[in-house]
Amino acid sequence: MIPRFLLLAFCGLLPLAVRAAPTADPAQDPGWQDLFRRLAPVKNREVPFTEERYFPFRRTPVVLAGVVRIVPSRGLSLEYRAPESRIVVVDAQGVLVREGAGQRAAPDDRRAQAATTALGAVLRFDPAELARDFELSGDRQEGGWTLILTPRDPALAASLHSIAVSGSQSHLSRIELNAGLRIEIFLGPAVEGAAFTAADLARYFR
Amino acid sequence: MDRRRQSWSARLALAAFAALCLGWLARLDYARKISTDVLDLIPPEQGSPELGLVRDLAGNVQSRIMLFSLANPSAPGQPPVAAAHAFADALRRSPLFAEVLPLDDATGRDRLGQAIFERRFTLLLPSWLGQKAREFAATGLAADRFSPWLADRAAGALEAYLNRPEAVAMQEFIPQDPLLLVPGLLEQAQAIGSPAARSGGTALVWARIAPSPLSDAGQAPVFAVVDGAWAGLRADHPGLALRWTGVNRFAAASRARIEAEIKALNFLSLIAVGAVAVLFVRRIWKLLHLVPILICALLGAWTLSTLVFSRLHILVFVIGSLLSGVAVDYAFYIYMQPFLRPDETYGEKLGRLLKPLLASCLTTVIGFSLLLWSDLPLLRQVGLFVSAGLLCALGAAMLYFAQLRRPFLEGRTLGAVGAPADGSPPRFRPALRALALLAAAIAVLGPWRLHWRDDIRELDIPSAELQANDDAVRSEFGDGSDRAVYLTYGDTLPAARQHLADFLGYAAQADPAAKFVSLGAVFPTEDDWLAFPGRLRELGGFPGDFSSALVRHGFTAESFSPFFGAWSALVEKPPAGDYAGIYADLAPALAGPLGQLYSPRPPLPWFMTIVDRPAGPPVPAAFATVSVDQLQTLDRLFTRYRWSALRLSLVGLGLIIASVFTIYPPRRGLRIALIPAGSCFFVFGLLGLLGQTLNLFHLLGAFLGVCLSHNYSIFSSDSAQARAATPVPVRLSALCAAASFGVLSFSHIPVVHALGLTVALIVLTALSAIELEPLIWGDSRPPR
Repeated sequence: MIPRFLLLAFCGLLPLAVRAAPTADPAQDPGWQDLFRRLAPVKNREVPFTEERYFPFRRTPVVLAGVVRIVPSRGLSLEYRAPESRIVVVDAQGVLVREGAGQRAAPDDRRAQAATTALGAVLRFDPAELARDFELSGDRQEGGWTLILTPRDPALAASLHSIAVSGSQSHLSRIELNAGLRIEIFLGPAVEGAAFTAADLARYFR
Repeated sequence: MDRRRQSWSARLALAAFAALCLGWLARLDYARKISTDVLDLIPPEQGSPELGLVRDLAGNVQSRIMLFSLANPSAPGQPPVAAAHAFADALRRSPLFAEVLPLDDATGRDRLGQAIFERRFTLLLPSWLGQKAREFAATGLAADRFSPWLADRAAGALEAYLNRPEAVAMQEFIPQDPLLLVPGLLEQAQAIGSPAARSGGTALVWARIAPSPLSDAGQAPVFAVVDGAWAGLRADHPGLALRWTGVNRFAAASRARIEAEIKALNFLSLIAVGAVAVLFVRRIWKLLHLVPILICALLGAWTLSTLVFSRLHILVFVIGSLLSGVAVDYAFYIYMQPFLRPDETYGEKLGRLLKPLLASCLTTVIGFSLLLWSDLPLLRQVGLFVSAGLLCALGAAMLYFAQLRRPFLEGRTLGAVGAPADGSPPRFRPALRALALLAAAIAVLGPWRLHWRDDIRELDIPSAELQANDDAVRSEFGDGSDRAVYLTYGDTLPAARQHLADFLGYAAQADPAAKFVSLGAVFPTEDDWLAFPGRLRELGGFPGDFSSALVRHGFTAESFSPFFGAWSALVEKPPAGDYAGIYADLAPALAGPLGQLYSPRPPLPWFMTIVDRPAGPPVPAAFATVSVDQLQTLDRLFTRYRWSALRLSLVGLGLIIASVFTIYPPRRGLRIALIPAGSCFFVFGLLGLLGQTLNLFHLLGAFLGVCLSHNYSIFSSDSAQARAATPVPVRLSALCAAASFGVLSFSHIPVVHALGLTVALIVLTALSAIELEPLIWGDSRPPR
């Protein structure tokens, strides 16, 4: 259950779209290595996003909007602003949800732990780590690129079939998550080196 | 009776007594008769449900739990899960371990989750419907609006739920559970998190042992299994670190500590008493005559106590060993009194001494016998042990010296303290009187500044190292000072569940931001359970209303056909049967730690509630809920026992004083009563002014001290009347008692420390009062 949620968070991190057929092994390909290097966050990053969840029992997708914040030394924070205010923190300690005045940890789940670890690897854009947890394939055409990640862990793969991350140049712009339901996340332009105050860090991270 | 016949009669009587006692004691099974379990010190029921909870929690299940935490220091952040499984397998191979679960293993939780999901209409729907019915009643709408109102609320809640992160994970269950019965429960559980989620880089193993942790089988053999499993694991994973805890570790350490303390304290007491004896006795080896008397006193005390009580706590014997300090008084008094004439027989001497001896012994026995009416088993046991021991000591002393030709132990008188030889008033009399006034003021005013605090943990032996280890391991398992644990109980299962519902309602109102998790919330209250079939009938139009509401809120109603099918089946055949049956039905899914979160068993069913913040003030009694912290101290209960002990002590003191006034003329009676009572109040006053916190056992020590001082007061009565120096037996006895109890005040066992300190101070104060009394009152006759 939770892995999908974690990977949703993960999606919020990696911007951009995918449609092209996978053709190369990004873990070995020097071109992909260079892209990973450019995508790896070395500074704070802030990205607006829109998330669309296509539940099979709803006529229209549920649309959520917010801001993704990344602090390399701390992890990732998803701030949902609409339709409800909520913050999801993903870091080395796991996943934390803040709502109103309270907060709660994501439940303990072996698969959730694996996904959190994977998320950490993705955050670092370390191809070796990504290759360890996912089968990677990708396609790069005329500046655009698509990366497809398929979980190696069968338990995880049972609930999360694949993640497609796409973008152009060194910009992540879209993530599509195939987890029984389809989730699409569209990312806006990233603000590199965003300045976060101590209050921001306390609010959005732990 | 001629002397030879008298000697043999006494010898035979003593030998028969010793043989009977030894015969009885030799037959005892000491492992069963003597307990080291702190719970045996408190009564089984006494109308206190808290005690029932403690017994159920600590005595039955909780105390058998052992917790293990494995870490790999060379790979922090990576729990050694495989090693934990191997370790658990090794423990499981021993029959001493009834249950072993690595906590990363989600099998148990998955099984419970599945069981609850399958029974959601039986377990969760009655509560949900009950809650909604109460909310609807508050709207004041007509009863026929309930179904559409409910349908719209449920569809709206489902729409809002899809915005939540966990909706993605739950999406495949939603068509079967659009009322969000199970997701609502999960949300509560997530508020607290889980042990493994808090454990960082450690892998946790939970285990339950089969034997009692307080028995021999639950200690050394279990430790051997753990050591074996750990040795095997280290062979394969040399870098691992293991931390573990369990009640049996504390019990074993406590037992070892008590045994070591008893040996050390007895040895030091012997040295201290020997040193005092050397000061007062010329032929010290003659003191060996006291040994058989002490042995008879202890034999009698052990025999009668084990005859009367089916089980005695080891602390009774620790405290009871102090009996020697009192028992030796009679022997000193008989042995050190000179014969008045060369031809005075032992019988004549004894007849002369009988009045003070009986007055002293019987009044003390009356005082201690009153403890038999205490609510606290420990006090009852100590009361009988000391009373029996004193009677045996007096009888043995009288018989033992009857065997000897002319029993007399010559002592050094050393004269009266501070009195000028010519009988003139001492120069420091004004200073002494000022001191006496000061002491009186302390005795009157000081006790008002006393602070009392009672804690059951005072009865246990502290072990800082084990406690720190226990805190650390339990913290990894999710216990911590940042969260509180409450137990809600009731006379019956329905009452306990209703109290839980009331408590959760009260708590949510008292602290709306706090998160409460209780397994009890899985079960409906009996009221909701009984009302459930009727409520279902009232909701005959609900499927249609809900279907329309779902469409209005953007859903495709046909996606929820699994739910509507299950609802129809439910309405056709609503759950029926015994309320307790729903608990029994879920019980098989509650294995391991989950099974420790509630107890549906009589006589006192309870539910545990975990709160994500430290415990606040005590919960009002109406909610039948108590925090586990409160249970661990049992402070309120022990305060009650202290007051009970105080009442009994005061009645005992009153009886002693009344007996003294019956036996002695008023002036002598007043002196005999004032010395022990004044010493006691002075010591309490002093401790009060020094800011000491006292407990039940200081009170018990004071009672013992008063009885000892009472002896000295009686034995010195004649000499005080005759303006003679304090008799040697009184000085010797008092200083021996002060020395031996003073040694005990250095004990690390809080109970023994409290007793030792109080008795030593009271005895020294009483002796000082006896010695200084003539100087203060101003009798100018020279001392004899």
